Amino acid sequence: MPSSTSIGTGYDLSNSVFSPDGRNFQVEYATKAVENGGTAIGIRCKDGVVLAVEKLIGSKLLVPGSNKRIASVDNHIGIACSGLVPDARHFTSRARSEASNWRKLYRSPIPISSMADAMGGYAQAYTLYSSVRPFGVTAIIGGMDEAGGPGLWMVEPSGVGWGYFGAATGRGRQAAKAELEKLPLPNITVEEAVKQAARIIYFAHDDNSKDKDFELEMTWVRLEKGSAEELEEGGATKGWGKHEEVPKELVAEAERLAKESMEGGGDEEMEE
Amino acid sequence: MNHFPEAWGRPRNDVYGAYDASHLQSSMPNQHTQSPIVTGTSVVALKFNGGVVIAADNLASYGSLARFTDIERLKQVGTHTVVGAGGDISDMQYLHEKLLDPLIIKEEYQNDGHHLRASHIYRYLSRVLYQRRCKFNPLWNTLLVAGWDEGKSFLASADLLGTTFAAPALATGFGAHLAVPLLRRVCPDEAAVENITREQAIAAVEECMKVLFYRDARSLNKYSLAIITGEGVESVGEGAAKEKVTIEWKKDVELQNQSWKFAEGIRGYGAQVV
Amino acid sequence: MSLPSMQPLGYDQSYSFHTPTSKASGEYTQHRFNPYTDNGGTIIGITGEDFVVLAGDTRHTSGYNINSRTEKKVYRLGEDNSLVLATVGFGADSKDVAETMMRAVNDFKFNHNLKNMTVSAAAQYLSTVLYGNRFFPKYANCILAGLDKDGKARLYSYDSVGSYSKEGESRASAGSASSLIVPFLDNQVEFKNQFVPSSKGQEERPVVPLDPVTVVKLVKDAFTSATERHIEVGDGLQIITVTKDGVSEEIIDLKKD
Repeated sequence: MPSSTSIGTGYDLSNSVFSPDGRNFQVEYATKAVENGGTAIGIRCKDGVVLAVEKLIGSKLLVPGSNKRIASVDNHIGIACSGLVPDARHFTSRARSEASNWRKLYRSPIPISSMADAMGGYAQAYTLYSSVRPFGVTAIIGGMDEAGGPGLWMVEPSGVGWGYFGAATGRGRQAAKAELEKLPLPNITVEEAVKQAARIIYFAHDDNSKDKDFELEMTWVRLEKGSAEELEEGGATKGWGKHEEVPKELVAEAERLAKESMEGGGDEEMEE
Repeated sequence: MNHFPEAWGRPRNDVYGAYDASHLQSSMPNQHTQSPIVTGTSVVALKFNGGVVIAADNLASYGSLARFTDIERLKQVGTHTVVGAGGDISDMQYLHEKLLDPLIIKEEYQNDGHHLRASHIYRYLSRVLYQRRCKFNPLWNTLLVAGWDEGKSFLASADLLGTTFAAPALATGFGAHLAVPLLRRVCPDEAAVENITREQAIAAVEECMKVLFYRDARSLNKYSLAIITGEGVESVGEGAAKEKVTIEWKKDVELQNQSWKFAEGIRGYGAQVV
Repeated sequence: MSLPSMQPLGYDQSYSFHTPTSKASGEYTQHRFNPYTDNGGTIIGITGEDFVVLAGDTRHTSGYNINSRTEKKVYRLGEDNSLVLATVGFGADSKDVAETMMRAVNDFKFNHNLKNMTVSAAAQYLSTVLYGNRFFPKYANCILAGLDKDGKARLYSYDSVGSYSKEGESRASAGSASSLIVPFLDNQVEFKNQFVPSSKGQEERPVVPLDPVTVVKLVKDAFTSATERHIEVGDGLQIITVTKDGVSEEIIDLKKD
């Protein structure tokens, strides 16, 4: 963050201008926008990827389950976003074009790393010009491809994009990261990760935005049943995955367990 | 700096005189398709109680040359549908790769449990074919769309003119002459469909493929067969209807039980003496 | 123009579904994509005073092939009005014209406070649609019918570029067997060549509006006869009757040979 001394010095007004100590304040403000968004996490497993979002509900009049925060951008890739929703919509729309163009060029689905590369490059371009502002979005890109198996990447407003075993962003990211670090990633299954993801989102919510309503949104990427491309190598499944919503029953069960663990956790705190 | 990329790397006008750009644009007007090039022959399909069976051989001909013998002319589109194509192979590949594949991917963006079913795919293809014929630039195909839709089997045809029709037994190309009469013996009308078993339907279609191989000079004894079966409409709340659709594939099937006995009786060709 | 005898001179092989080949100047034969075909079939429309009947066979052909025995040719232009349209000719154009009309009637309703298009308005609109394609015509022969605001039956028939009579007609037929059916309707609906028996051929039989039972009988007779004599007609007969009480559809069998 710009220190209080550097705010108002004029160096934070334009994208194309560095501050004397070499920072781009517009990018840092964008990051700030993300830090206010609902928590989003991604877990890379040995047989797929799980994405989960804490969708904060601003009004009880909104239809439950509407305004999704995790988007499918191709059969095998999902993107979970935290931050400004309209920015996220544009970002995923670009990801869909990238995926579609890749198919047109190479007659094959886009690898996850290439998608992360492309989207990192796209986000970075919005840090260079005075006529634009950076994306107020951090995107967690999860997917499964033939060469690399499960892939999980996180692209930030600066354009930086790292690969992760477990990724977290949004206001509950610190609590979520602490929980993710305790998991033996990537050596868990998607089914286990679904339960963990639900628990972590509930935990992070409890920690950061207890007063707000939220919905848990979860998707996974895994091989379709009976998929031909399945091969085991070093414990990881490879092949083109399918990104879809986690079945309702599984989400309900994971939420039940999450709430249970919260009550347990709550008691502990009471004891302390 | 010259900002026209097409001028880069060319001799300077002031030194070598005006550049002769005549080769840059073709002297020919734009051409539209007037005839197919590499072609597939018949597609054969028949409804039965609980589904549809559809078949097409693996040959792609270049005129009378049997050019490719491993071409798949049946393709699954989405979860409920198989499209079989006769006619120009490159137009078929265009339909699939440039239109249908992206269409299905885009439908799945929503992630709302809705999938494009056979009637949707059929309507889309019919309109594309008709629009292209209206532009005098047809996609040179005859298509059969087979699938499962709203608790019923679906089978219909569309061609390069945009002509569309549906019937419980259909065949394109040579098969329209040779296979349809055989199939109509098994299935004269829609009412007959419920009395036809899956096995009977497969047998009837296999028999058609054999007869077509005997008499169609542009056919092959290797073909693919897809069997689409559905299980009713099960209601799953929220107004959404879910159907269980299974598509079973038999690829690289060789024609069985051929009999060329009739050939012995043929006189008047070759070297035999009366 | 689907039978050899009906072709104009100058074509050697003479079916409408054959690609016409023309000799370009010089020794080359030029082949060209032919965007039309004839899918056979016939339609009839007959009015009474306060009802109208539109009918068409359900055979769909390409040359000597029967593509389908169950393709309908008569369409309702909406669920809550009396408008019916029958189209015959090139199947793809015919369906396209019918769908264009359905959409237009539907749009009109939403643009005009849920008032339905009158039959005379629909008639003019159809003409506009067909003439709009004057230089690449829709090869669709149409008969449009419905009840006007006074409940009187109205029937209009068109050529493929949209010419029609605003006054409407009492009966019409189009399609491959229309030449067989039109004289029959002249005689049975307009009472042409019928005379009062006692007048020794001096006094024409007065024209009176027909009743629905007679009209449906005429339609069935016309189609069974056309089925006998024309190869592109048969399989099924779709009859739609429009009265002030609503629109009803009947489908009966025709010979399938």
